[in-house]
Amino acid sequence: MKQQTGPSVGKLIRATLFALILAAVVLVVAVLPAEYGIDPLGTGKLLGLTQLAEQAGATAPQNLKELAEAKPTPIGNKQLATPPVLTDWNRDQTRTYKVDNRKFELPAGGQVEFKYQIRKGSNLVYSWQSTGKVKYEFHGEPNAGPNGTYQSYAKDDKVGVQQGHGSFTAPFSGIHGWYWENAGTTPVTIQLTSAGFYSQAELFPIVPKGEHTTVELEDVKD
Amino acid sequence: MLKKLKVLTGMVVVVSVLALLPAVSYAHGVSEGDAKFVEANKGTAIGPFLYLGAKHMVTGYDHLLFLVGVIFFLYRLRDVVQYVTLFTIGHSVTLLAGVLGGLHANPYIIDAIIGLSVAYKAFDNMDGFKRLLGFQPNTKLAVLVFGLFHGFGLATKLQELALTQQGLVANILSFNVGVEIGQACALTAVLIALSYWRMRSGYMQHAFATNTLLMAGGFILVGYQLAGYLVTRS
Repeated sequence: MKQQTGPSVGKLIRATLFALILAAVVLVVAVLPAEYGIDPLGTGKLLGLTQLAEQAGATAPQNLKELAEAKPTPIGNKQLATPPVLTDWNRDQTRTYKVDNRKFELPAGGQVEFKYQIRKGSNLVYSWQSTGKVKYEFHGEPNAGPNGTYQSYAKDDKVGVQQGHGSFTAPFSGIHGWYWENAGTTPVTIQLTSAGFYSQAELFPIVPKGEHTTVELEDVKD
Repeated sequence: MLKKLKVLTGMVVVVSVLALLPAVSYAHGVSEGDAKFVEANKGTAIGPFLYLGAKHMVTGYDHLLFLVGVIFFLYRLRDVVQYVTLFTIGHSVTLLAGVLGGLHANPYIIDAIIGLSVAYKAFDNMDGFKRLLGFQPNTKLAVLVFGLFHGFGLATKLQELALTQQGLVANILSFNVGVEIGQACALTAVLIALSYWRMRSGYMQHAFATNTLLMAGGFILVGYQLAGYLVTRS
């Protein structure tokens, strides 16, 4: 039922070019400003579309940069003209928080990985201590991403340390946690305490060789 | 003069719909409230996952645009069923393999390819390949292969959520069945709209222009997703 003759090659090319140009215009004028806060022509600002991106937090890096570059107001009898504003002081979370206590015993040279499944934007407060120096890397692996990709948050792979404490907001949905390696010649015990909005934990003992296990975590009970 | 005016009006309508796409884009991923449900859910929940699958398909404009392209020139119900079945097989395979088999792909790249599938089908409808390359690539194979990518897209949406292991298989299967139900609903609506349009004389006249716009829609999706890929990578 298609047209018997079909369009000429010239018409096809013109149509394709038209489609490309139209797509480029809509992208630059509306989609990029609204979705990512990228606004080369200023149309996003004109139409108020960049607010959408700001809502989604897409322009957060830019705001941080502005904050960093802003000149400090001199201390005096004047009040701050614009007090610094933190916009997301409260984040609703999707689940009740969990508290987790865990002990890892590592022989000399032993390694272990322990990570929590945390959704993007959810938080973890943690504190760990070891009886001896351990090398470590606090890192995360996204759920949606090729296997083996990870993001490092903090590490010491040279001398080793005996403790780590912090509060953490997951930059993406995935498993976030620690790799520990006993850097000394005697066995060590690592004690981890954490609270947060995680769903489950993944344990990867590397030495001695063990199976990867998923740990279901109980909800906090009153 | 009047004809030109009509074409112009049509274009304005389509362009404004395209321009509104970003505004409804939150409907496309799994929305925040639904995500909360999935996160908090433990165990088998067939009903909710059926609904989520159906909702994802009905509000998923990339899947819908592709289907419009596929059935644009299909008149007989048998053909429609044939092509849609191929599409269904394709996306079911990768949805199940992706989530259950733990296959991971970058969601932006997958969604960009899905956008490309829209542009491809539109160009195909314009007899572009026959004219430009001198031969017609197998249309059924193309639908099957692009179906695979659409399934991957569905899988990445689910993988972004932390699904619990309990009742995983039943939940994914429910989601998949939901997707097919949603697809059937959406197809019915699209078919009704197309057949109404086909009764009018303008259909064949405007087929070329319509597919040009469909192609532009595909390109917009490609650009939108590629930009997202670049933004999140840097």
